[in-house]
Amino acid sequence: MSLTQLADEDLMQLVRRGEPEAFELVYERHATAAFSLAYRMTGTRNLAEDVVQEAFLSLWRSGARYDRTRGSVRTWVLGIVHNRAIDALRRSMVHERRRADLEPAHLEERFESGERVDVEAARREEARDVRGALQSLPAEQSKVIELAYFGGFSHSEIADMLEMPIGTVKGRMRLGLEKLRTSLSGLAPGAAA
Amino acid sequence: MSCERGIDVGAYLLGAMAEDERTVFAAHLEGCDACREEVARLRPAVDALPLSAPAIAPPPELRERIMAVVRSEAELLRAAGPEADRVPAPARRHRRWLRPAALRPLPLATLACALVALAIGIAALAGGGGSPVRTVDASVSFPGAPRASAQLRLGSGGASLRVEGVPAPPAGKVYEVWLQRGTSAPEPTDALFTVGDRGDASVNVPDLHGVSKVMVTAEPAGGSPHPTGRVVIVAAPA
Repeated sequence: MSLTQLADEDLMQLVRRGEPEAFELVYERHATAAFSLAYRMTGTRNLAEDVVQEAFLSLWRSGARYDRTRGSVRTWVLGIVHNRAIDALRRSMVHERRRADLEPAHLEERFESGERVDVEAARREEARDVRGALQSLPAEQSKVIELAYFGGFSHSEIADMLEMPIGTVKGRMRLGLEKLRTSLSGLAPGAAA
Repeated sequence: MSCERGIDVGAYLLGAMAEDERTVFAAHLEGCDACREEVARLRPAVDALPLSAPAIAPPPELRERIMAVVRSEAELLRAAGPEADRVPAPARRHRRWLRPAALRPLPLATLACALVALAIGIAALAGGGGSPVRTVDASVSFPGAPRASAQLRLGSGGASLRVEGVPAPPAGKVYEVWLQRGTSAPEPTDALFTVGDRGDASVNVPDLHGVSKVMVTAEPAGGSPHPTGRVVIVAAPA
């Protein structure tokens, strides 16, 4: 069986043994999602590239930490990217600049990940569903979720920015996630279980 | 939700807690079934969020940069054989090839001073005329430092490695020089170094007879008997 036929979880076993070809395939499959998230969070290509590079090298060096019982490889990769991007944002001045620009960047979408067409189509649909679910949240809930998840701001920073008590921010975060979960639970597998 | 800390679950999942607060809440989760269940229940909503980001393909050069590092590390791991440990392990102190004085990890400042002295010594030797010097440009891999460079200088009196523009090793680590002969495992050396303000350093490299590759990795202070960091410099002296 060729490497391309292996599932991500099986590729990770080879990555754990130090096989670069398996790692390259994992990169191919998830680099676009990783870069998209990093770019959405940092807003600059250079910083997004640094974040993705750090995240994938960390994956290469710590493949043994992947535990398939705790989720898909994609979720794991994106979790690493998210953490690295938050670190990068908190270290850099970009965070200060983005404070004044809280709306999502308008970007031209490009799918160049080398995925099969049907996989790409499914991902586009999934992306549309998640965006739709986010947009259907009350504005005050989607705002705190976006500021926290994509902006990398802490609940106390958000409370300062929006001039509201921390408890209100936390409550809106939890309530927003609850509603998001409910809207996504009836959709395609992978969006929300 | 029966626990009063349940209100924190959203902030925890979204990464919106300060580091210390996050640590405290993670400890709380260990002992609170209600919060743990709530985290598990809401996690899929957070896991779906990245899908809403507009899809942007990374530049092809990024893949090349990452794969260059991965391939060089894989090569070193293969060369190091089954003893290689992919998870950095604490350095063993007792290495028979080290002089007793070198068994103790040097504080970085001391090491830096020693390097300056060493660099001056080497410069004096080179400036004194006598032995002809051949230089070999090394390949370097410091993604955040495009101006980093390294050269192996070979003379009749020995060899040295000179680096410029190289980032300081991570906290608590030093750069260690390794020698590889043919396909055998890389041999550690007592050539450990850190860099000055401009990222420069010069260090004597031991006997290069039969050596096919000189490599450098970042290792725990005091050095490591087996490579644990990625290869950041490679030179072929032959």
